[in-house]
Amino acid sequence: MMLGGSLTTDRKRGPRRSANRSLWLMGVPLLVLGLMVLAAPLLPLADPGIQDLRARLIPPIFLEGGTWDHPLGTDQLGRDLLARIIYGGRLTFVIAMAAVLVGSVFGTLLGMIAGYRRGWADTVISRVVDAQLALPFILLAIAIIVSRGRSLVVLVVVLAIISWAQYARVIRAETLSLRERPFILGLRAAGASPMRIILRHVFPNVGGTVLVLATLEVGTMILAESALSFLGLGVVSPDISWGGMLAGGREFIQDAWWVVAFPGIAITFVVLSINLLGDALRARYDPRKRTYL
Amino acid sequence: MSFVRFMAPKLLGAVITLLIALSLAFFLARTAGDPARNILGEFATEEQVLAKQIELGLDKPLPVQFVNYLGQLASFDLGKSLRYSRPNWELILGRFPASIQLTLAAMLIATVIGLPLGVVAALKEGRIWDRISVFIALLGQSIPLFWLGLMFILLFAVAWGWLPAGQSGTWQHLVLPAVTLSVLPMARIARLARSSLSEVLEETYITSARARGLRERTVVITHAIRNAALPVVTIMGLQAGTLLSGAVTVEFVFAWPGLGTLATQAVQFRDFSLVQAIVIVGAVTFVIINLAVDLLYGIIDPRIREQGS
Repeated sequence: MMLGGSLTTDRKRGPRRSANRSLWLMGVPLLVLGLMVLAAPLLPLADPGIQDLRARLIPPIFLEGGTWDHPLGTDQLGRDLLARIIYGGRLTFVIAMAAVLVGSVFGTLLGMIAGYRRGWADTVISRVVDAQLALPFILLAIAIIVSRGRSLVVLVVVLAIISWAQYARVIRAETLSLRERPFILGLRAAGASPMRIILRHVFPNVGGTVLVLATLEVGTMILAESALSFLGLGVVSPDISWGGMLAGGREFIQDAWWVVAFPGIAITFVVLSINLLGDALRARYDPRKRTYL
Repeated sequence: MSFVRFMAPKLLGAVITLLIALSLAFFLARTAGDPARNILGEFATEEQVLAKQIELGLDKPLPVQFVNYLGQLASFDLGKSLRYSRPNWELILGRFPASIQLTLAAMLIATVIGLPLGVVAALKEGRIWDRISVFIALLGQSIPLFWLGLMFILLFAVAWGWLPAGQSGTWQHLVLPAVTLSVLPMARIARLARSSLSEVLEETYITSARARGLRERTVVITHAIRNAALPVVTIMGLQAGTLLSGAVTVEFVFAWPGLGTLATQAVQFRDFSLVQAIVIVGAVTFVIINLAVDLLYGIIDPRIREQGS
């Protein structure tokens, strides 16, 4: 048994170091991209909203007919694609972050309450979580947006509704095992109030998991936003998001593939980086390498 | 007898989950806004809105509406489509075969590719094949599927002309949408197969099987994979349930005549009643598939049946 133990730690050292490395490898490009998106107005970019019908569907620079005025080409209304992708990233990020914030706060709180209090609170919350996970998310989103109309607030709320159950389920399980730990039992015996124990003592111990989940969830939210915008249920012109750009360019795909290709590459790159970052964070915060589905 | 005792609580749980899900669907959609106003558009007069509300039963208090809604569901009445003036049930049933066909094809591709990918990764943990398959799985979870579908159309239909870009009918029509849709379940299956198998491989009974001098192939196939299969079966069931109703964007891209396309059309025509019916059918399907997976569990693994009773 002892021998087996030391063997495992030796073997685990490898992935651990590589996890740290990929943390940097993934974190830095994301950070650069984030800064670029934040500083978009300061960059020497074309105005993303300016239409120039004489410059419609100009190909990117590496194809014949491309110009440095529009490095990634222009869309169906002659707007600069590079500028639109960078500006579009702003709204995409804001929506995803806001949804993750709302979803994680509610989900984590409910998960901790369910796991700590047990009893009827746990039964009710767990049942609602199950039910929420049984609803097909994109259809539910469609139903809400159809009856409510489109707006940014609705979009964020819909995305948050989609994601909260995920946090609640995982955090509940973590809290269940935490509450039997001696330090929590001691606090209970000392008469600390449940709310105080949950916020001051349980939360710091599930914080790492929340961080991992939230990171991964930013990627999921970006994908969900792009899907909704693609279906015409998300961001409305003149606001720009990557999903909206895909929806607008779809009709022109035969003549101008770049209008559709580049926003999709942007989404894939960002979500992939976030997922890799999330995996690296998980390896760091969760020594058991548990997989959350 | 023990099987009945194993299933009864699960069945009850499924019914409760479904009830809550249906209530959630009602309140989230109904309290969020006034469907009547949205159906008619912003230029409708107050009288028109009021007439529409009465027609849809929206003038009554919310609890009354809710009871009516549950009553309708209990008698398997999914309401009438506002646009087609036909029962929603009929419209949905008409689209089911296409959805099932697409789901089965996608799940087949996902399993055939995802399972070996995960198994190889677990057996070669930490090495280059592991890295590659983990990366493929992560990539699969990161691509917007509708965009992948568009790129497939661009390459295989527009540029090379190998396969049709949309519609349905022959097997050629099925290829692109099924491959596109298989990417996400493929990635999930591969990831779970990897983690589940690598966990099993560290169990003591695997060490003891090896110590008994069994061939590695025998150890992996008869001892490890069998025990790692359970979570993978679950995720396959869950994924199939999600696909059946969640293939909205992919169906939209390929104009595949399934439930997803019906849903997007319903959205375009603000057919609120039809959208709600599709959500309900989606939830019911998902819960039933979940229940079937639980049942399968009990059959595959007798330990679970014993614990349950």
